[in-house]
Amino acid sequence: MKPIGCGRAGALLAAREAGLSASERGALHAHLQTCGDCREQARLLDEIVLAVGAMPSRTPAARERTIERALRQGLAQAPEPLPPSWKSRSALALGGVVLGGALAVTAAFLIVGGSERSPQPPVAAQPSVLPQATPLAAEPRDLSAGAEVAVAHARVRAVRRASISWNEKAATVKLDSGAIELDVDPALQRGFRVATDTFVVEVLGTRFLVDASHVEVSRGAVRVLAPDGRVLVARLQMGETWSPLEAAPAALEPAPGPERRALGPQPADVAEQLARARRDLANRQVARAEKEASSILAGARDRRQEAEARTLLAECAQARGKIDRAVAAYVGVTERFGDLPAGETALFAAGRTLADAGRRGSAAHWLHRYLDRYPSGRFTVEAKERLAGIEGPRP
Amino acid sequence: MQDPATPDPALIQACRKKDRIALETVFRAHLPTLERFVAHLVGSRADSEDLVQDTLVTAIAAFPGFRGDASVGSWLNGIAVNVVRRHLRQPALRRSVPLDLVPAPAEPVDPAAPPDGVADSRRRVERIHAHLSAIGLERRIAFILHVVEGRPIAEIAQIVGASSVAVKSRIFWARRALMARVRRDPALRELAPQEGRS
Repeated sequence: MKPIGCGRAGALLAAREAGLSASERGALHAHLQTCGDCREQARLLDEIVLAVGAMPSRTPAARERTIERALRQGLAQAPEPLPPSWKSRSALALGGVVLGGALAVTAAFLIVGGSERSPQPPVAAQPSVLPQATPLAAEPRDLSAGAEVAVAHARVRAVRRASISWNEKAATVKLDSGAIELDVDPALQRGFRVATDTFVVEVLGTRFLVDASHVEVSRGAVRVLAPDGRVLVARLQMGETWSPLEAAPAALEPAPGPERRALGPQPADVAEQLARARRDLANRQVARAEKEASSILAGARDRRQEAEARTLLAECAQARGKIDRAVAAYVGVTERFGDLPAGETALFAAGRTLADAGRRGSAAHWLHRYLDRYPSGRFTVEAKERLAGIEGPRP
Repeated sequence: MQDPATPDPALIQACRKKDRIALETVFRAHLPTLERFVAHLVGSRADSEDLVQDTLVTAIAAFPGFRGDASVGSWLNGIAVNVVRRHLRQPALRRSVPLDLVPAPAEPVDPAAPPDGVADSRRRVERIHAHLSAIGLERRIAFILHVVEGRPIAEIAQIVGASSVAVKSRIFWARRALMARVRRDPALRELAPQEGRS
């Protein structure tokens, strides 16, 4: 074996064991036997790789949420980057609009920070500040963690990535996801609301944090309402926290009323849509069924209904003869909703679809998966029969 | 099921048409690798989650232009590199020391390990992350891709859009700078002698 020098050894060390051929590995080991300096380098590299590689992995559910948010944002937004006039509009707004002292300082700082960004290809960029002259749009806008927007007489900061929209008439910020902190200017004495799916926070000059699961007041006081306007907490004061999970379930049940529709699609609406989509599919109106199911997914808040909409999409793919897509969609339902009946149905449907398409090997794989996971499931008998047809009778 | 490295051409075609299920399928197959990669680059769990999401959003818009010359994984990593570059070039972030990937003491640790050992280990990891974040961005990216992720030079060249020679040079200088910083760090020198190491 040809001996190597420290330079070559360093390059081989960088490639790590797995990236080396047998002869390279041998040469490196021989060099390390004789060179204390390179041995030290190897040890430090191990340390570095261990440190950088030490990363707690995320749960599959967290990953699914990332995919879902990205799809919602990516499929909804126009592919074009922000309009080029954005910066000039921001600057104009800053110069032309009279802002409160603290708000003006914040806005100026953030706009300057935003203007330092180097021009880049279209990525999912969000401006740090929406000045008053450019009201937050009615459609949801994603804010990355730490981003701030000025909305009417309030300042909204995303504590973690959040999706919000603004209804100017109702002076209401709708929080679709994430957590936001609000600082409402008390001097203006005007009402301001934040609506989540389960509750509404009404404020008059205060500072508070809100996400889908709780509200936390850090200055002043707020009132918490149900989406239909019933008062859940008359006064939540500085330092106090309230969560809908602690409230009586009946208090949070949505009641029919004019506000209901303003807060996004409700389970009953979705159930109607699902029924329509099923009818369309039964009548071989596959495109219509797909469209309906996709629109349900865009607004579904109920896991069962989301699972059903996804199953419908899988069935639509199957009806179109797209077997791989159908199976991928069924497996997706199983992975996301394994705890629901739809998850069980989807796993069996993946095997059945493949079996019907004559793909015996893959069908057997998914049917076995079904029997392993649901030994006494709703489709156990049929799964065994199908497997018997593929592999011969099972004991 | 389909190997994520060689996706079904029909699936990719569906992704180009922004088909929801196809995009989900592709993203699901590549997300664990993508998350690890981005987290290695930025060192911050919270940031990496946002950046992975931005990468996927960008990929959705860019899919119609995906020619299939590279694997989907390399293509997604290339997008991630651009997203991370943009993120790390923000002046406030250049100076930041990412610490939150370091397992906190509250997270499950080896119960047999003495408390001091856990603290030392955490401190060592923090220091190394700090040194890594001080290296130039392009060098850091090449170093992490090659040394930490074990990717071949040719693939890295494709991901970062540079020649193989440039990538090798970046790795060389990154390794040299990192080693020098680590050796000069009294905290690491003090922590360096680990039991059971040769």
